[in-house]
Amino acid sequence: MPVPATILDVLADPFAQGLMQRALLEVLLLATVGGTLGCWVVLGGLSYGAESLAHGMLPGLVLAALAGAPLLLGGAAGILVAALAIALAGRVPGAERIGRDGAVAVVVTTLLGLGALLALSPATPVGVQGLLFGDVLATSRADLLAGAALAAGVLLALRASHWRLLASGFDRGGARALGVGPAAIDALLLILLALAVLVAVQGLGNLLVVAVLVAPAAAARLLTRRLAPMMALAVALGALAGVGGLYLSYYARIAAGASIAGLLVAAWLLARAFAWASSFRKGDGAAAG
Amino acid sequence: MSALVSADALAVGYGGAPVLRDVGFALQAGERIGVLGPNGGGKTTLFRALLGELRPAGGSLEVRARCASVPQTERSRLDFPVSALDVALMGTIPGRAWWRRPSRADRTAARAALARVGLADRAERTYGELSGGQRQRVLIARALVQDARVLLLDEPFSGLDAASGARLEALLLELAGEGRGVLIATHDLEQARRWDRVLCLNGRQIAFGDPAKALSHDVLAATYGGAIVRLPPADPDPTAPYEVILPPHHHHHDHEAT
Amino acid sequence: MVGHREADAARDALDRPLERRVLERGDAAAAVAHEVVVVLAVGPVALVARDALADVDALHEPQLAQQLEDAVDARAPDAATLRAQAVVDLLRGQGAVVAVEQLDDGVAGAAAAVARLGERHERVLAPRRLSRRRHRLDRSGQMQIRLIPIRIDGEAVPTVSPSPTVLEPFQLPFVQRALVELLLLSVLAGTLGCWIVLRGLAFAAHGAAAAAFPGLVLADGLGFAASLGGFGAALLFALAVGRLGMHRREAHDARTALALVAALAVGVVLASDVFHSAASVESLLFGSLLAIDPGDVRLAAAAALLALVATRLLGARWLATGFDPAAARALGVRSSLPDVLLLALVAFGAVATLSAVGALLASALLVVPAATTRLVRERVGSWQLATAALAAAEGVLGVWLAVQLNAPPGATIAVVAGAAFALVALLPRTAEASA
Repeated sequence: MPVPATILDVLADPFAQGLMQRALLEVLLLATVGGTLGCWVVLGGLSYGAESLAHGMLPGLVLAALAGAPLLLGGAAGILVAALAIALAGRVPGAERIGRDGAVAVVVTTLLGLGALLALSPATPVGVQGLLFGDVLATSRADLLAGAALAAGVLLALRASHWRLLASGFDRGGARALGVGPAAIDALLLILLALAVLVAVQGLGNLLVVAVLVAPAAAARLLTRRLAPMMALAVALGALAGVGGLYLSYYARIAAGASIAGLLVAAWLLARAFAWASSFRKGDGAAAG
Repeated sequence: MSALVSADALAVGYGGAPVLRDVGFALQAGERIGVLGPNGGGKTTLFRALLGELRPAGGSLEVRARCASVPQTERSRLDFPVSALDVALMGTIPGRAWWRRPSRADRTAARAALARVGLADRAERTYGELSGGQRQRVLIARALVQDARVLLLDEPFSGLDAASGARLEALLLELAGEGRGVLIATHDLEQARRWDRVLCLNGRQIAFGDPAKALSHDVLAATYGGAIVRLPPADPDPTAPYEVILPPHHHHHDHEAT
Repeated sequence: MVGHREADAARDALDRPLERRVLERGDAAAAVAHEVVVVLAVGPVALVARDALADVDALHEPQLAQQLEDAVDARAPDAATLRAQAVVDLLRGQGAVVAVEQLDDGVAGAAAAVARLGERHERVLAPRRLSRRRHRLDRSGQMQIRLIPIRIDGEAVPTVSPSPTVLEPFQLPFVQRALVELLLLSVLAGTLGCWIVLRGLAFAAHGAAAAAFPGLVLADGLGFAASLGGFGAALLFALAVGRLGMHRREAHDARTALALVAALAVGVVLASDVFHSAASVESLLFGSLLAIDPGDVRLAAAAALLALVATRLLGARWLATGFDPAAARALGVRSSLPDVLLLALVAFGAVATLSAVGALLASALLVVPAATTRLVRERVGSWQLATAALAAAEGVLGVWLAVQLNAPPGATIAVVAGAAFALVALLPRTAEASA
């Protein structure tokens, strides 16, 4: 392999192949959806819920892989089952004794176990590591189209419901007086969350997908004071981390999904450090984040 | 003139037994009603019923005008990335198709409302940066934009200094004067005495009416459920003795000695 | 077409290379064999053909391999004849037989960039292609290897073993060791598990186990005791996140979610791409119960003992604080030391379960049984006993099922535990008198 002569070569080399170009587009797609919807996830305190849903969808993914069905279908079924199971677990008599945490933990652990059971049992085991940690370099043109369609749907829905989301997020009780039903808004966010997870799960895997939904928005929240800049910054941070992850994967030969997730978390840590440092300098002593 | 809100033998609950019973009152246009009672006594429950969040479990409740809520300060709201203008603009949501963005007329109305409450120059500031009193006024501006004739304020004076409190009171007087009905949940007896009516709630309605007549010693005891201590006034020339009410100590656990 | 072949090979790179887990399954089927032969083919040897399990890089030299489609045709293999026990020890990372080296994980890793150039994958919308069911020889020099336990009666030709009878699994030493481990972990589940559920530490436990994953790999890679590294990482996580769960209601926010993600991402990178761990990512995440070694059992025993002692000494404080934190502080439960110790115990317990059920399924032992019995038990004492009993039963049943079904035992236990919870939760119960 010829030694890259210039910085430009270093930057451009990885993306000479169609494979990497598609991965790049996928990553940008993820950043867009993750950055925008992620703001609502973070503002609404839905991070843990998103993570639980993502973890719990493993059996669906495995079954799709085993059956040769599209991963999107399996993922959708998996999310549905996970959501229903979590809702049900919270409602059984006596659930208040184990707490919401406990109920979610039971469901998620069982589903993870079921997924592993399905994946690792058969004579031809499914490559569960790809499902868990993603396979962004296996993005095909069809994947991109499907992802773009889903992402467009999510973005349109977000734009259309913006003010209702704002009203409900700001003042849940008073939103009703404005004609905004909080329950309907919750349902909308849940559906959009599921769609976003489906878009991202193929690239990042069901264990890491929550990173793109939470990290950019959480980082942007520390650095901005209005929603519009927050969303824009979140998308930018997500894109930077995503592209950086691809470079890392190419040059350091590290798994791409984990690289991207790692850089996303690193970006958030940097934002925390920055916010803490600048609040320190301002001298108001307020805790950042 | 029919009342803006009227309740008769109203009972409200959260699915099980009603937590609030025997509520009967009427809110007329131009009136300020002080809603008194201990925490958990039913003030917030009543407000939720008025807003339509809870359905009456018994009796009747007629709400003949649009209600707007000015809730207590919550931590999450302080972090929310909205400006004062954004909050005021939320009041335009009801009149608009849900996919539409605020129009220029909407923005004008929002700014006018902010000006009305004295915050015209703070419109672009982040909500969380404002002081307690200013935040309450922004929420009132939101209610004004909604063109609500009934305002429900949940302990708006808590945490306000005297100057901000006085300012808020003056605003409420103005708004009532314009024909609105105002329900204010408060713990401040002296304040409530200055308003038009009081409504005492503690799981049920204890009293409703003119403060001078309704706020007897027995009513207060029943409302707050604890011993009432009368303290002699520090200042030697008050018109009435200053009462201090001690809420009961709400501990139901027994503790294991460790 | 080299490109195509590379595509095949790389696609199969999603399958795992030689690893413990394969051995477990092999052992499961071999559970009824008197002797187990594991045929490891290196170079020109006879191979018993079955389904593809792994790709192995033949050390840069093209190798010839003969393929046999049917066990009947197998010649006596050149590889050593080993007992099940020895097989376990052998593949546990001693290099001898593994002249077939660990795959360069740049290829086998989930998605290393360079190796994937030139491929095309249709994953999302097109049906996912499974690994092929046959041996292949790859002209580029890679060779598929199968690990097959086959039964040998003297010199006779190996035949496929019949399904085992009910109790036969329990006669095997590695199954017995697994059961001992599980019994010890049941004690842990009964004591520590109940505190975890009582104090709302379910997420802290799950996260601590997940955090142990990178700690383990890092310590192992750097050359010191894996468990120590795992414990260190788990402790960090438990302390950072656990305090939130204990004293606040809505404790979860971006921080906790991202901490978990970071732990898993770092772990998989370290395991696959940096240190090329001998233990596979899957056995770290889902356990390798049938390959327990005495060290693991000692760790479980230590954890169980510690949990018992700590319950005796600190149980009252933990109970009081959990009941009413503010009042407890007012009553003079002065420092938060008991809570810190509880979190440390949670971390230790999480590490102790790793070898059995893995970093992702620790809650199957530490949370699920305790949650299940909590639905029907009021008092702490009877609750803990019931939990220990339930956890033991679930463990035994899980192992037995795993052997019968040739399934990963940790995951089986998790599913059994979840099924038990569902059963208890959904069946109508009479209200328990709190006596």
